[in-house]
Amino acid sequence: MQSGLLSSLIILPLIASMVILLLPESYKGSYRWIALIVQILLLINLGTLISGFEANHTGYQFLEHFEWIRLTLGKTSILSIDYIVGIDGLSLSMVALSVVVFFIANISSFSINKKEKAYYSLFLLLTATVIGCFVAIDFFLFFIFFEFMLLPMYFLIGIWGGPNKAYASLKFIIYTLVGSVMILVVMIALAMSNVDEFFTSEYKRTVFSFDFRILSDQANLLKGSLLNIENPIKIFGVNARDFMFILLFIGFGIKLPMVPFHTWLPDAHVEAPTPISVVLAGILLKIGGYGLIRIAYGFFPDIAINYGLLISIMGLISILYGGFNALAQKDLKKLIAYSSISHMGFVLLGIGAFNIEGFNGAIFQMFSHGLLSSMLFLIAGVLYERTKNREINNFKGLAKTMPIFTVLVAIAFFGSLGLPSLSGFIGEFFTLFGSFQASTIPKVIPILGVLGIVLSAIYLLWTFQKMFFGEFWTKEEFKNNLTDLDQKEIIMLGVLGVLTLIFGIFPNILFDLINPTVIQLF
Amino acid sequence: MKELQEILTSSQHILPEWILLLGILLLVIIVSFQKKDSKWPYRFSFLLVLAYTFTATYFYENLPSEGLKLYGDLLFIDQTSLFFKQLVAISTIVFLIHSRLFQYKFDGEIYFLILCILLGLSFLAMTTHFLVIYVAIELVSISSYVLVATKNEKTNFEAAIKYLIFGATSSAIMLYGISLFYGMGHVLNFAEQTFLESISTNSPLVLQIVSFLFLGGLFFKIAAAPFHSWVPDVYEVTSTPIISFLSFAPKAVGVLVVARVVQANFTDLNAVLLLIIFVSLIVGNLAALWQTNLKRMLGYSGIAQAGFILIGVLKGPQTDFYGAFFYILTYLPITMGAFFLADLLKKQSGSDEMEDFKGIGQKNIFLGLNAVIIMMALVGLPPTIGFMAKLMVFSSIINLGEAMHSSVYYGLLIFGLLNAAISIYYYLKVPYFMLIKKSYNQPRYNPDFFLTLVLTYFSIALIIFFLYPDFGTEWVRKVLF
Repeated sequence: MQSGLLSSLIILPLIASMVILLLPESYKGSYRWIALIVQILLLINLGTLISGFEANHTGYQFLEHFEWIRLTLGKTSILSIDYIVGIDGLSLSMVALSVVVFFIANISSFSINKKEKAYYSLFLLLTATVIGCFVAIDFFLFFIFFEFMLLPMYFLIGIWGGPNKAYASLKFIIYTLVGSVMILVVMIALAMSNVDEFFTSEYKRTVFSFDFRILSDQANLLKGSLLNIENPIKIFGVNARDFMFILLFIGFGIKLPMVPFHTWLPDAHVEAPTPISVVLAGILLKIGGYGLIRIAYGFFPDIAINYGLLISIMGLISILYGGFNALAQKDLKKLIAYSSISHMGFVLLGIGAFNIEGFNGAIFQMFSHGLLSSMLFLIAGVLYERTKNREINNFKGLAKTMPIFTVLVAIAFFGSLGLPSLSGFIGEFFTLFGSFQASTIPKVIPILGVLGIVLSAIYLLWTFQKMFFGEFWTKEEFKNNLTDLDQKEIIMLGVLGVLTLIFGIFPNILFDLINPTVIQLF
Repeated sequence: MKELQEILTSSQHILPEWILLLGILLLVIIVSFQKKDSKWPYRFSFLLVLAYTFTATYFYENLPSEGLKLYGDLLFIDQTSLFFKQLVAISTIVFLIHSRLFQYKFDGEIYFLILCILLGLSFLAMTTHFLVIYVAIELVSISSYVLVATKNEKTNFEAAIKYLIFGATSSAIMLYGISLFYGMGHVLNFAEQTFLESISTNSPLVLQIVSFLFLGGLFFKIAAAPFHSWVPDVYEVTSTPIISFLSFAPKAVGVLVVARVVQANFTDLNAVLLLIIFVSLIVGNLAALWQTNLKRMLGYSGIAQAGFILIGVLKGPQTDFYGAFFYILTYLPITMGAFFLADLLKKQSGSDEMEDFKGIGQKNIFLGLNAVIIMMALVGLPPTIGFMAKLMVFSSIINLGEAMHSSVYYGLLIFGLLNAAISIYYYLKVPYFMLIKKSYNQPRYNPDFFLTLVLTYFSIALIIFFLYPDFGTEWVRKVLF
C-alpha cells in the first residue's frame, strides 16, 4: 500500500516554500501563517503516522517506492536509484522530533522581521530536506537530502545571523561538506559492491542498488568487489571495509559533532538566529547519530564491533571536553552549545557499547536532547530578544521579575543535568548502563562518563544560581525590557517542557517504538 | 587513379566540414562588402552553424559502428567524433545567442575566427593522425590568439601575448613529441597496428616521457596544469561570450583526443595523467580561493574542472571513458551558464569584481536563485547535474581501484572529493555577495527580466537533467568507443 503519507511530509513544505517564493511582496504578512499552517499539517500527518504505526512489526513501514533513475554506467552496468521512503521505529522517533521542533522553531521565527519571504521559503525547504533525510531508504536519496540541507542552513545563518555570521556560516558549510564528501565515498563504494539480484536478471546487466534493504544484507555483496568480506581489498594498508567505516564515522562525527571536529558548532550557534539554533541543535545534530546507527552500524556491523572502544573513547572525550569548555563560558548561548557537544557525547558512548541498552539509550538521548536543547536555545533567545545581550554576568535575580520563565528554565536545566523524572536522565542512564554492560569496554570509560553528568550539574546549576537567584540586578538599559514571557514563548517552552516531563516519566512510549528496530540490528 | 578515387569518395563523407569551409569563405566576402555594423555576418554565421549542426547530426545515419576511415587514414569518423562535433556546434550556437542577447557589437571577423575554431575542432574530433591533430590544433590556437587580441585594450594585448607565447611553446613541445613518435613508430597514425608494433620495442619510461611531450599541446587546450598559466589572464580580459565558448569547446575536444591516445594503449599513461590530475586539482582550487574577480575565478575553476574530467580518462581494464564524456556533456550547460551569469552580473554591477555584486540578489531574488543553482552545479552538489557528473567520474575511480589493486586511486578519490569540498568556498562567494552582503551604494539596478529568464533556462536544465539523466546517459552510452 502506498499511502503517500511520508511523501506528504516532504512535499507539503516544498510546495509551501515555492508558494511563498512566488507570492508577491504585498502578501508579506501571510508568509509566517502559511509556514505555520504547513507545520500544523505536518503535526496532523505525524499523528496519523504514529497511530498507524505497528510497533511490533520489524522492518520498514509506510513504504513508498517509485523507480527514479536508471543510470547507465558504461556498457555493462546500471546504477539503480529509486525514490523509496519508509519508516521504522528509529526514523519515526526522529521524524516526530523534527516535526515538533520545526513547529516550535516556526513559532519562534515570528520574531524575525527581515526579508521574511526568503526566510520562510528557506525554512520550509530545510524542513522538507531534514524530514526527507530521516525517511529516505535509498542511500542516494538520503544523500541528496543530506547535502541539500546545507544550503538553506548556510543562508539562514549567513543572512539572519549575528555580527560574525559570514565566518560562522562558511565554517559550518565547509566542515559539513567535508563530512558529506566522506559519506559520498562510502555511498559510491557501497553501491558499486551491492547488486540487486532481481533487477540484474531482469535487465541482463549488473544492477547496482542504493536501497538500504539491499545494502544492509551482506548476501548481496558482489564477489571480488571493493567491499566484499571474503577477500578484503586493502586501501593504504587498511581493509576497505574498515576504511569505509572510519570514513562514515568521521563524516557523521562532524555532524554530531564529535570532538575534535566540533569547532564549527559553537560558532554556528552563537551567530545563528534563535529558531535556527533550535533547529540546528534540536534536529540537525541528530542526523549524525541517525546516520551512524542506520548506515555505519547498519551496513558494517562486522566492522563496527571492532571499533566499540574507539567510539566510546571519542564519546567520552566529547563528554568531558564539552563539559569543561562549558564551565568556562561567559556567553549563555556558547555554554549551551558546548553542553550540546557534551550531551551528544553520550550518544557516541551508547553507540560504542554495541548492545541493546546502549543503542536504546543513544536513541533516547538523541530524542531527549532534541527537546532539551531546543528549550535551552529558546531560553537564550528569550533573553537575547529582550536585551540583545547574553552575558551570564549581566543578569542576576531574574526569578523576581520573570517567575514563569524561571520555572521553565528550571525544567530545561534540570532536565539537561539529568534529574530523574525528566527525559535527560533516561538517555544518560541507559547509555552509561549499556557502556557498563559491554564486555569490550573497560569500566573506566563509563565511570569517567558519569563525571560528565557531574560537570553538567556544575555549569548548569552555577549558571542558574548566578542568573536567577539573589537580588535582581542587571544593567540599567536592560531593566525595563526584562518582562516575563509572553503567550507565544509560554507555548513554545511549555510544550517542550511538558514533553520532557512525559518522556521522563513514561520513557516506554519511546522505547516501545524503537526497541524492535534496535533488536533487529543485533 | 585509385588514390584519386579514394579522395573523391572520402570527400563525400565530410559534408558538414565542406559546408563550414565554403561558408567561412563566403563570410569573408560578406564581411568585406558590408558596412562595419552590419548584422549580416551574425545572421549568416548563425545559419551556417545551424546547417553544420544539422548535417553533422543527420548526414551520418548509415555510419558503420566501427567507424569510417577517410583519406587513407588521415581522418576517422565514428559516433564519438559526431557526438563531440555536435557538442561543439551547440556551444557555438550558445555563443551566438549569448552575444546577441547582450548586444555585443562584434566585428564580422570575430564570427570568422569562431567558425575557424569550429572547423579546427571538427577535424580534431575526427582524427588519430599526428599531423592532422597538429594542424587542427594550430588552426584553433591561432584563431584563439587573435580572438583574445581583438579587443583594443592594453590588457588584452598582454593576455594575447602570454597566450601566444605559452601556446607556441606548447605546440613546439608537442611537435617535438610527434617527431620522436614518428622516429620510433615510422607511421604518423597512432591508432594503427604497425605503429603499436614498432613502438613497443622502446622502454615504457621513454614512451611516457614522449607521450607527455605530445599531450602537452592538448593539455594546453584543456587548460590543465602545468600548462595553465595563460588561463586567468585570458579569461579575465576576453569578452565573456567568447571566453564562454573557449572555456568549453577546445577543452571538450582536447579530452577526446587524450581519450583516443589512452585508448590506443601504446603505453601506460596513467602515471602521466595522475600527475596532471593532481596538479590541476590543487593548482586550480587553491588559486581560485584567492580570486576576487569572477571571470578569473572561473578560469581557475576551469583548471580544476579539467582535472575532474581527466579522472574519467584514466585507463583500466574496462575503461570506456563514460565518466569523462558524460562530464563533458554536463559541463556545456554548466560552464556556459556560469559565463552567462557572469555577463549578466557585469551588466548589472558594471564590473567583474565579486565585491561589486553586493545586494544584486536581494533586489532580484530569481537572479540570486539562479546564481545559487549554477554555482552548486559547479561544486557538484545535488540536485544539479553537476552532482551526477562527479558521481560518474568518482564511481569510475572505484572501479579502477578494484581492478588495478592500487591504493593510488582511492587516494585520488578522496583527494578529488576533498577538492570538491574546498571548492564550495570560492563558488559560494558569488551568491554570498549577491544575497548576503548589503550594498552600501545603490547598484545600477535594472531588472533585466528577459536575460534572467534565459539564465533560468540554464538552471532549469541543470536540475531537470539531474532528475531525468537518462537522456544524457543513453546518448553518451551510444557514443562510447
